[in-house]
Amino acid sequence: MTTESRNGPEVSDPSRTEDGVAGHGAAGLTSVTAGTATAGDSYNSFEDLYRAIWPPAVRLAWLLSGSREVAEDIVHDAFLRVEATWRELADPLPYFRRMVINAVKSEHRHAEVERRHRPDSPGPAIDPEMEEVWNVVAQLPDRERAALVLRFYLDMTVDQVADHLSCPSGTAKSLIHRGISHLREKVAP
Amino acid sequence: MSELALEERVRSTFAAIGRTVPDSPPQTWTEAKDSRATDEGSGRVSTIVPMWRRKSGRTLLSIGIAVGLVGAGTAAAAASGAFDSRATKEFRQIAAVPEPASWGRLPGFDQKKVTFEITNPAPEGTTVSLWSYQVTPEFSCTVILESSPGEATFPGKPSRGGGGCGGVVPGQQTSGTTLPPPPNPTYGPYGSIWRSRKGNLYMLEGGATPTAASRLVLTYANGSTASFGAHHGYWAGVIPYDQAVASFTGVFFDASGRQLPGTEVNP
Repeated sequence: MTTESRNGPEVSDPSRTEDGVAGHGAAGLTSVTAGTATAGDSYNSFEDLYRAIWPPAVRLAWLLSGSREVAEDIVHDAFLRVEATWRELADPLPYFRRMVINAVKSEHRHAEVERRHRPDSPGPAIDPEMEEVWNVVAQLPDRERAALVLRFYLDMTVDQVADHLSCPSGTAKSLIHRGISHLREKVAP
Repeated sequence: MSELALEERVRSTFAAIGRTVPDSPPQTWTEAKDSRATDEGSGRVSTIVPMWRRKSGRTLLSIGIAVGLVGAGTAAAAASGAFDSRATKEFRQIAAVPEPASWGRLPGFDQKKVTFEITNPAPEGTTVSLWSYQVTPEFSCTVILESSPGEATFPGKPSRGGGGCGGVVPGQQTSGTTLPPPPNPTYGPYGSIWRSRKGNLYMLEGGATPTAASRLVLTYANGSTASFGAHHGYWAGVIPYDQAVASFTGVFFDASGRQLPGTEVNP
């Protein structure tokens, strides 16, 4: 898997904080650092950073990519990229979030056929109704799927979704609406 | 269903899937970095074939774990053994399968010990490769990787990686943990289903061979034959599914073309 071409250039401003993102606690890659604190202030070591960020980063990458395997690869690559400079990151959590989003975007470009229609099953951990939703979400166009994940997993506002997908707010709102409409057509009531 | 209810269902689904990821990584960063080298350009590969091998005679016996696939990559990459890091990853995933029941994670997994054994041509311009990992002299794992991604073999339930290792479990080398020896000199291949991008069904097969073997010739039930290269005591190949289920037999040949007696393959 590539790393340089996939992540870096699309992270427009990775060091900024994510104001007003409620998230789902640790599950949502929610920022826990504040102000101008750097990662070096918040984490004693890279191992600490890895332990704290790996779980939410993999969760987000899995939801965005549909593949646990791809998710772990993407997150691993992200850590490789920041290992040398992590202490200087102003706020590593949003940085990782953006890297994950951009990496999944790139991954989809490289592996479109492979990913489409083939989501990883979470196994017995979720009930059949949820699995039905999961399978339909996996078949959505990438941007619709990403918009739904950012909106309903990370609890982002429409503007924040737009920011992360590099599109106007109106487009983000439309993506979310279309995603929900597709789900309504395909998911049993 | 109202929009609100649907949104809530989506939220619940995402949250439930998120909860399946543990709250801490399965490895430290140091371990993860050692064992998961990035795989520039090779893409995904997979299908894991679990088997165990007794050192004496290098005989294989499946321990019967269903396995899966997901994969991509180039034939050239596979042919050069460039999927090694992916194989390494698959070996690590094998460790998550509790087979045998007393077996846990691969202790002290060392990526450098993963050995690329062989690549053979496969249908539709793909290749199939086999790697081995010798945990102890009596305990080893083998993984077969198809170079091309396959289609889901079950609607909505694409098979996933899995696998196993076999032999005498390290640290528990008592008679109670020793699997029964395979019937020597039979060499039993073990494989899993692979559906090609064209939708054709195949079986990915592979296993140990006699040390002197350089080729394995399979004879299918319809009388046709197929030849597969053997190297380092292993072979790997892709067999049309209907031929595989209709049964086949095989014999090994050495480099000079002589058949190796008493080494029949019986699936």
